[in-house]
Amino acid sequence: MTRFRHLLVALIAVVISAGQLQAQTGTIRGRILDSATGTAVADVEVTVAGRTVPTDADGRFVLTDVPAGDYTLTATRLGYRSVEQPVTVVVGQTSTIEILMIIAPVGLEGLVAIGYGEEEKRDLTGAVVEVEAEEFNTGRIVTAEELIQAKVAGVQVTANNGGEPGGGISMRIRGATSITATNEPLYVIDGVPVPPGGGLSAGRNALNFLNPDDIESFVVLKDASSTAIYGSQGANGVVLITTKSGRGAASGAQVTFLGNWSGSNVTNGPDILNAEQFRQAVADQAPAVLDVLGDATTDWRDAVEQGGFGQDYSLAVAGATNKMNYRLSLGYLSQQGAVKASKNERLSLNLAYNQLLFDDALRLQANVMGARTEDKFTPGGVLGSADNMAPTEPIEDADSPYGGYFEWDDPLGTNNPVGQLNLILDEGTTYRSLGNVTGQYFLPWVDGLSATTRLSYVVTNSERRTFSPSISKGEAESGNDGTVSRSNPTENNFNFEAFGAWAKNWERSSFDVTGGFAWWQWRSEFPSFFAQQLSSDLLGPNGIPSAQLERTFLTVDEFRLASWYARANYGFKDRYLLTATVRADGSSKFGEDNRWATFPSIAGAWRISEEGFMDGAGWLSDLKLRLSYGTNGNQGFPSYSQYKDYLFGGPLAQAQFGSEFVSTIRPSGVDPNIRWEETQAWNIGIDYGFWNNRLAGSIEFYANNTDDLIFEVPVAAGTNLSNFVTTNIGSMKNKGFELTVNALIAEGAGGGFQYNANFNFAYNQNELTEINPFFAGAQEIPVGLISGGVGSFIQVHTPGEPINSFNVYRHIRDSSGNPIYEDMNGDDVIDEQDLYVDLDENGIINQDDRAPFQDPAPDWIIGHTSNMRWKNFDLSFTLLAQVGNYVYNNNASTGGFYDNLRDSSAPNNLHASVLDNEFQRPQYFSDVYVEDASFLRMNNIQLGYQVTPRLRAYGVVQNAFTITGYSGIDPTAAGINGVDNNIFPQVRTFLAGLNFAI
Amino acid sequence: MSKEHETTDKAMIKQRLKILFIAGAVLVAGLSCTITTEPESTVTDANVFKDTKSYQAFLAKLYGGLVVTGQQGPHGQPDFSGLDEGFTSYSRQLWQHQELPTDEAVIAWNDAGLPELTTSGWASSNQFVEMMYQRVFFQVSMVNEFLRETTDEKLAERGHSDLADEIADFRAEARFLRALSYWHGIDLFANIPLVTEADGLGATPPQQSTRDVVFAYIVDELTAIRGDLPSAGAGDYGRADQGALAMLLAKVYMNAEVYVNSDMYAAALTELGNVIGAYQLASNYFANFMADNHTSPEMIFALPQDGLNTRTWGGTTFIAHAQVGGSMDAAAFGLNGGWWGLRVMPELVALFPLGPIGPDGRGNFHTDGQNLSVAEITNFGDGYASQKYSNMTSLGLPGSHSEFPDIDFPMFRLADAYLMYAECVLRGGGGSRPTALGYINQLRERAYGDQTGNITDPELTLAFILDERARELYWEGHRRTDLVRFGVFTGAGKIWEWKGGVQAGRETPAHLGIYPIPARELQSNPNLTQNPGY
Repeated sequence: MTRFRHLLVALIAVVISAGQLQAQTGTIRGRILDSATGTAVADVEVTVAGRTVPTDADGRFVLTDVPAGDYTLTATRLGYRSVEQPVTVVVGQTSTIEILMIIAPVGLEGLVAIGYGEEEKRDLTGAVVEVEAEEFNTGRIVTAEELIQAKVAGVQVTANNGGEPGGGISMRIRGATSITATNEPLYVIDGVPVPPGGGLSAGRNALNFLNPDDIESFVVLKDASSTAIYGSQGANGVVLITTKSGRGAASGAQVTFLGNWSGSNVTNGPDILNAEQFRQAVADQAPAVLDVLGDATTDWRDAVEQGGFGQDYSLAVAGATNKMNYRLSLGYLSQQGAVKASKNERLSLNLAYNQLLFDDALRLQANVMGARTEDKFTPGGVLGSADNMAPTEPIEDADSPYGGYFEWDDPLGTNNPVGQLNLILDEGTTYRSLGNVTGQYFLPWVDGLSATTRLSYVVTNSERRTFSPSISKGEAESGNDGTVSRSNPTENNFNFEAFGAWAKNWERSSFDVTGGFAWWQWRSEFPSFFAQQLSSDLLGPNGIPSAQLERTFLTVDEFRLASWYARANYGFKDRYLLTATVRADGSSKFGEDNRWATFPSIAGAWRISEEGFMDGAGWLSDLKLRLSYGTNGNQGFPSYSQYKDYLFGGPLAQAQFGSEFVSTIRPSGVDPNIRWEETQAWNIGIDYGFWNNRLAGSIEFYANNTDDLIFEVPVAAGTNLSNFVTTNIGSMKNKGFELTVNALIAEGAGGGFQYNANFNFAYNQNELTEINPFFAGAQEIPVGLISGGVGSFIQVHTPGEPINSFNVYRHIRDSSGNPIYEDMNGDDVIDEQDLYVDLDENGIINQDDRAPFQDPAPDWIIGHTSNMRWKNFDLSFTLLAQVGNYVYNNNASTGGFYDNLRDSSAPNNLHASVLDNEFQRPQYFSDVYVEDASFLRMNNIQLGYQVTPRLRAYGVVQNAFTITGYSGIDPTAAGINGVDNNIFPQVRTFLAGLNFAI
Repeated sequence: MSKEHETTDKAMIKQRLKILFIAGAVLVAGLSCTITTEPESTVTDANVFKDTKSYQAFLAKLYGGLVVTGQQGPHGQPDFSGLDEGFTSYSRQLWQHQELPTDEAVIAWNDAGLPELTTSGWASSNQFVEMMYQRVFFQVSMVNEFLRETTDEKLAERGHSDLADEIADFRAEARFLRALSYWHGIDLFANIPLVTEADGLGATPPQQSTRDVVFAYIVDELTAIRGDLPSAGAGDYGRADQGALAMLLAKVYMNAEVYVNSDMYAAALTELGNVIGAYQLASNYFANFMADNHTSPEMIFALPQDGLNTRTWGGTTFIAHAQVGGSMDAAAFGLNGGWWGLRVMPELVALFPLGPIGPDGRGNFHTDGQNLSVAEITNFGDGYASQKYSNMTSLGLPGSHSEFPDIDFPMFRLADAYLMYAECVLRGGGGSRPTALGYINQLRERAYGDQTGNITDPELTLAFILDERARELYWEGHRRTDLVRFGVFTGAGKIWEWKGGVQAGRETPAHLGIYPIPARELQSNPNLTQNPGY
């Protein structure tokens, strides 16, 4: 504590002394006007001498206490070209300046973060897309990744669990590159890399610790040239997240308050029988159990759903002086899900502090962000039970020993979802902090040379608590008789980065080089315990009465990465650009011989519009051709794969020797020579701009080939210690094309109508090219576990097809296209021999007649955003479409057959598809259930009104409507893997908000 | 602040920054040398045997491999990937392969490949066939690794030579377990590779061997280790002793006509002589299939399960739960619920005079709500249900857990040895016919509760033995081997419902007498040739 106080005193002293340095100063006043219309431009960031102020509604700005001297003033604003203008400050005087800005569509000007540095967008050679705060999706946003859904061509952002607030998100940049290793991009937050998928959490999404209101921009690095600086982590693309700082704030404290309130309702219910239909079905198909039915009429979905209320507040204070700036923000969010018991709460704090020291030679930056997130979960199984529970049964039953909830006597019967909901508790608390201190020192002895050191950490401390009382039906029938469990994953990551940069400009050419060293250390520990057969339910999740069975677990994981990297840019006559990047990574995940690998890339660009021969084409304001090639790696898979290690057996898997029980050890099957997956990527891009860039954008073509794919491959029995060994075998390719169009349709001169539109289109085609090069026959790796049967896999990885292709029988259809269900071969049994096409024409329908049919990845992803402004009103909307994504409707396949009524003495409700299909027995592997889930969705519509220059009010409708042919609840409900199985229902959200600035 | 001071300060600052810079460079150099991380929650092969308890723990895994499916129990950290873990249980797969294609059992579930085990429709892609094969070789690989890690040289290297005697016994047990699995291997698949500890771990797929070679290997191994095992009945419960070894050898010899076309009934009789005196029949037949069946004096070799310490979804968890359904009361079996799966075929019921209500107490079938005939495989109501296994103790108390029974799987028990003895006598292996008749009548007396079921010498025929084996040993994982030995598993010699894929049953081709080499194994090991007919 004393130490901390000293630190605080020192910090305050620094701040005060910085203020005292103002002595020989003057003032700059100015106004910024639109060059075309002559009207004032508000919200321009005006930067002089490291300080930034915004212009007011009248386009005016003031910078006081500027030390005397000559400066270059820069003015930047989204939608305009940046302007640089010299300005001289004289002691005690006010310099006045007027600046004209030229309109340019969003996204073509300014500096963009590229990893270990920044670059002018116009000088980029790779496929790099920036999304700034102004362009983010609006509405109820719990998770940072949602901000850029539909905003970047080739980036698929999909919720893993439907409409669950703050649920996990899968992001795919240009399709999947791997099967066993991760397909998630590398996230780098303020220069700090976080582990695959965002790291660790006891809640839903590890990135939920970020308050979206604190984010300034996303930069997506898509091609190998731009991601090569991240080497072995870059194969799935890189997402750089930059949080807001005090840069650009007024010298006094500038306070902003954002608040919004929202409610949501479920858009669509499951297609199941109502009580009347169900009773009829039982009477017709399973009269033996008719007398067990109750006489209630219960809508089980309705009984477990709620209108999700949410509130979200952010309060930020920012300030800046000559030498420093700061921003401190506090956020609070509380968000209910559309299913009872699900809730998300976040309290977040974010501090950014920048300081110039030693005559501005040392730039010190510190960012610390921390959050507590509380996740409450709907107990597992509630949604499935709600769909399966007979609608004829009551919710409550006064005589029930199961907490007063109706339950079937038959243990095979579905459990009461309301009972599960109210009796079982499942919640998590996560404390997470990410911080870094960066010092950049401009070395005095060489002009243009700087050295940067960054120390950063990610610390997570989390807790997941569950409690199932002995009176819940599931506990009673599993014999667990009351379970309390707790797990406390922790994460302790440390990163050290040191890099130097040198830049020099000559008359006709420029050169810069960046090179450095990185050290990443990620350590996680997973302690947990559970106790079962509790002697009492009274202590709930907070204590353990005597229990028959108590077990504890602990695992520890540590990963280290050391890297050397370098990047050089050369530009000639501002039109020939060349970038070369290399990164050498050494990783703890590989054995001695494969530890180090080098990932090079090269890219060039030709700015054709700068050529003399283009002088006549004034309408063509920008034309740049880019070409890049490079290699990336992927090591997003578990640590220690190279070790033949022995796994200790748990207390429930002991062997009995006489009257004693002996714990076991088991050696693992291993390929000690496992190495990185490598992706070789080509990218050809064209940046274009017409009519002073009023219509601008880019076109990209790419091909990514991944080799040495890591698979669990079957090994010859007897040669290793497992039937599968993780090794490098197999190849995959993705190729595609992306088109982005930004158009300024109406300029909005003089407060008139302004209209900006963005369109992005992406097409991707995935193909698994090879699994096992040593075998000539048919090769298949079954994946995609479905519910129904045990160990039923609906998808397959097989060469020549996209990964995760559905592997199904072709159901014979009748003349109207409906699947048949009749005894075709006259053997008095209706089975697969009657229903499916004999693909291999051998007269028997068996496993071999299943064949790949479609896959869950979309062929096309299309995003559109419109931004309109008229007087004080603004209107924006974002559309998202996917075409060619298929979904396996597991809800229909597990509920759509009459045997469900007969398999036990407690009949299950049926999926309504049974009324059409009339299946008696399950047809899990029929193509009937593989559906085209292409859709067009109005992601969000926002209408805002600027009440005063300081106050804006707005309303948003999220997920306003979805147009789709998919018969299930929602075309995106299946998540990234395409199996729709009782996922959290999709919601429509209505939100009202206020933004207030002081 | 004077100008001079300022300069000095700046110089100092520069100096400090230089030092910082150099310190940073040194730090970088230092860090880049230490990328290695070693597993902390598991142990590498370099360290694991520093703890001498690891030898016993590894041996425990060799036994555990017959019962549990992974390191966590009942599921989690599985031994195999690519299949539902509950399906990967050795004892469950062995049971399914020995029972489902026979006249003893049928299962209602529709899991891909499961009905095919009953309808003679198994193919090389069948996931259960693959799992059985993999389990056999998992055991072989584990034993081989154990033997490689426990050589005298390795022990000396680690300074553990003082443990050599104890570990010599462990090694003998390990070799017994390998021989047991190889026996299952040649019985089920015939033409399998022979991999021993002499073949190191590695990428080279093994060559296919023949039944003859593996048969000889099993016999040699068992003969070689006999002296290192405790005498019959003297070993720890759950572990191999000379009784288990003799029983295994007897089984191998008794089926030698099938395996290697050679009459070895005399040798089998000799081995049975090493078994029979060391054990006693339990007074209650069903005491062998209850939660406390580890107390049965009849047990020669069992796979122990325990609700609190040894949990699996296979073994008797599977058998006991799957046998319960329909109107049966799970609680009466000490279970939390039935899985509505297993029933018996009508042909088994027919072996008991008057069926379930007859005098033979072993025919303990549940008939309420059940049809005798199996019109529909997937309907639990078709076929009588068996009540053979129970998670109640012989004192009428439930086992320690109602999901995971305490019932140990009875792999070898004395009644089997009696029946084998009689069969070997009848097949001309020597021995004494009156002794054989005595053994049989001991079983009959126990079953009937009195001597009314006893048979006379003329009734003691091979045909009687086959039927009596079903009556005594049904659902214990012996039937397929028995039917094969009697030459009626395939062909038209014996027909039962759903044999050949039709309810009435029909003749099947001879190649079904052995299972196919799994398709995936043919992919992984190009040295293998598929069994004929598949």
